[in-house]
Amino acid sequence: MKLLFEAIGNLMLHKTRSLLAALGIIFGVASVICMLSISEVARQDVVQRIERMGVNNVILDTVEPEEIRAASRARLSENNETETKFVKYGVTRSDLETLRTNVEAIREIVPMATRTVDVFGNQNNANTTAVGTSPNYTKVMDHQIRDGRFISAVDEKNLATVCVLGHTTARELFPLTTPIKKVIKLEGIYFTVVGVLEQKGETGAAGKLDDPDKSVYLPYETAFSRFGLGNDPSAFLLEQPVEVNRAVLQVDNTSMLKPVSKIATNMLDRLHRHDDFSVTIPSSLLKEQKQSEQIFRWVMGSLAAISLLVGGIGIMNIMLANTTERKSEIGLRRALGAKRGDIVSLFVSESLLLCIIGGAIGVAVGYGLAQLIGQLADWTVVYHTWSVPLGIIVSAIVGLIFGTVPALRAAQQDPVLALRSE
Amino acid sequence: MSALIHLENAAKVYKMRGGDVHALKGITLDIDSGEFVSIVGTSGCGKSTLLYVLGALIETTGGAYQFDGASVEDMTDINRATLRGQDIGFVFQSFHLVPQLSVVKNVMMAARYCTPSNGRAMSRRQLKKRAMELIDRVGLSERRRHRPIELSNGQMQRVAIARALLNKPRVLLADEPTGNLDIKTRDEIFETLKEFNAEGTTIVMVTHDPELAERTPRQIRLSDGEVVQ
Repeated sequence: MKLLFEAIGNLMLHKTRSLLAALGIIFGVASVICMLSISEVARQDVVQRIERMGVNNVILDTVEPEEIRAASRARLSENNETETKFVKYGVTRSDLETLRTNVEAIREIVPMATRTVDVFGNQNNANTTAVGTSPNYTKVMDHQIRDGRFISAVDEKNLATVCVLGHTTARELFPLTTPIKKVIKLEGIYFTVVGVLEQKGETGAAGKLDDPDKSVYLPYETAFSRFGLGNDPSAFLLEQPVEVNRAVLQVDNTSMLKPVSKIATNMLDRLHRHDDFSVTIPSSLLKEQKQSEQIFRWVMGSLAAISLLVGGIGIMNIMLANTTERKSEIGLRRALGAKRGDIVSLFVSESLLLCIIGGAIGVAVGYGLAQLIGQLADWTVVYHTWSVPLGIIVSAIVGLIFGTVPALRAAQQDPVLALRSE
Repeated sequence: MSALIHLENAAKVYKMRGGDVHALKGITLDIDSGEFVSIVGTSGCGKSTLLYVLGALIETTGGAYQFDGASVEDMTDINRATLRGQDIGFVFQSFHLVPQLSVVKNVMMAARYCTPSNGRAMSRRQLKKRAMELIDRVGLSERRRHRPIELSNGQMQRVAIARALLNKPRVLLADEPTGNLDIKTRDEIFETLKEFNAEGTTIVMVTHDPELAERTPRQIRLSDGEVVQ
C-alpha cells in the first residue's frame, strides 16, 4: 500500500509525462477493444445469416451454366436481343420428386421459384422478391407467422391467388393498417393477403444474400402456373427457363447433412446435362466462418500485440528517462537503506500503475469509439464484459515486462556514482 | 569496550580503464561511540571514499571493517542496506532533498527503508512527531510545508540533518556538509551538529575546511589514501 501511494505520488509529480507515457497503452487497448466490439457485430451478423438458412438443411441452388451464359452473351453481341430462344436449366420439380422418393434421410423439401418484382397495394408500391413456395416453408426455414396464416395445401391445390407478406414488404405497403384480406397487385395479377411473417433478417453467406423480409410468398403451383413455364399466356415468368431457383432439403439429423448432399449431387449430376446446380450445407459454411474467424482473431491478436508492444516500448523509454533523471534520488534512497529490490519495486510499481490506468482509460476510450462508430454506421455494438479485465490485465503485463528493464538498471546503479550525478 | 567503527588495514582499489586507482591504502582506525571526528585532506586524497566505506555504500577491496563488532564485508547487500537504514545517517554537500516533497516529507523519507530494531521501532505517528521535533530543533518549524526550492542552502542542509537523524542513527556521516555555505551559515550548521553530538550521536565529518576541522575534538588527516595523522 505504501508503495502504491508512493507510485501515485511520483506519477502525479510528472502528470504530463505520465500521460504521454500512457498514451501508447491507451490507444493500443482502445483500438483492440474497439476492433473487438465491431468485429463481434460483423461475426454475429454472418453467423446469424448462416444459421437462419437452417443448420439441419441442405441448400440446392440453380446456377446458370457457363455454356448457356456464353451463348446469351454471344446472342447479345450479335444484336439478336429480340430472339427468344431459351434453354431450360437448373433444378426441376422432377429432380425434387426423385430426391424425395429415393433419399430416405430427407424429411422435407421446400421448392422456391423466385423473381424480383414490383408489387402494388394500399396505394403504395414496393420492390420485392416473389417467392413461389410450398406450405412447409415456415417449418423448414423456421420463419414464424406474425398475423393470419401461411400458404396451405388447399391454396396449392386450387391454384389460389393468395399471398403472404414478409415483414418489410408488409410495412412498406401497409404502414398503418393490417394487410390481412387486403389485395395486392403483382405484375398485373391480384392476390389476397392471407398472412404476414415475423421479421427474420438476411440469410445466406457473402455473395448469396437473401432478404426473406422483403419478399412476397405465393403458392408454388400458383406461381408456376401463372408465371412459370406453363402455357398460360399471361404468365410473367413465361420466359423464365428455371423451374426451381432454390430448394431446401431438411434432413433428420445433422450427421446426415454430408451424405445427403453427396447423394443429391451424384443424383443430379446423372440427371443433368449441364453443370447447373450447387449444393450448400449452411453448417459447413458455419465451420468455414469459424475458420475465417480464427484467422481474423490471429490477425487481430497480432495487431493488438504490435500496438501494445509499441505502447510498452513507449513506457520503457519514459521509465528509462525517469530513472536517469532521478539518479540522484536513487542514490539517496540507497543511502537511506533502500535495497536493490526496493528500487526495482519502486519503478516497476510506477510503470505497472501507469499501464493499469492507461489500460482502464483505453477500455473506456475503446468502448466510446465503438459506440460512436456504431451510431454512425447504425450498428448495434456488442460489448464483451471480459474485455474490461482483459484490457487491464494485458496492460498490467505490459507494464510489468517493460517496466522491469529500466527498474533493474536503476537498481544496479552504483549508489555513490548516483549520488554524485547531481 | 570495543570501538563503534573499526577499520583494519582497509583498502579500496578502483579498477579503471587507464589503470587501477588506489583510493585507500591500508587504513587502520577506530572511532568510538559519541565521538565527533573530522576527516581532512586535499582533494582526491580519499576522504569521501573513506566516508562511503564507513557508510557501507562502498565495499573495501582489502582489510577488515567492523561496525559495532559486526564484520561489514561479510554482510550481504541486503544486510548492508539494513545497516544504513538503521544505524547510519548521511548528510551530503549538495543536500539531496527531493524537490517535489515538502520539508516534512523529505525528513519522513528516511523512515521509508528503515526497519528499526532494539526497541527503536516507531509508529507513523511517533515518526511524524519526531520529524516535527527535529525540524523544530533545526529551526525550520515555520517552513515545514515548504519545498526545498523555497529554502536557502543553509535551511536545506538543516533539513538534510533532520532527515539523517530521524531514525536515531548511531553514527552520522557528513560529506562536506558546509561546502556550499557561507561562513555564518557554516558556523550555524556546525553548531547544530555539535548539539546532536553532545546528545550522543557519533559524527564523522569530511571537510576540506581546516578551520572547521580544528573545532572538532579529533581529526584524521588523509594523504594519498593513507592516514597521516
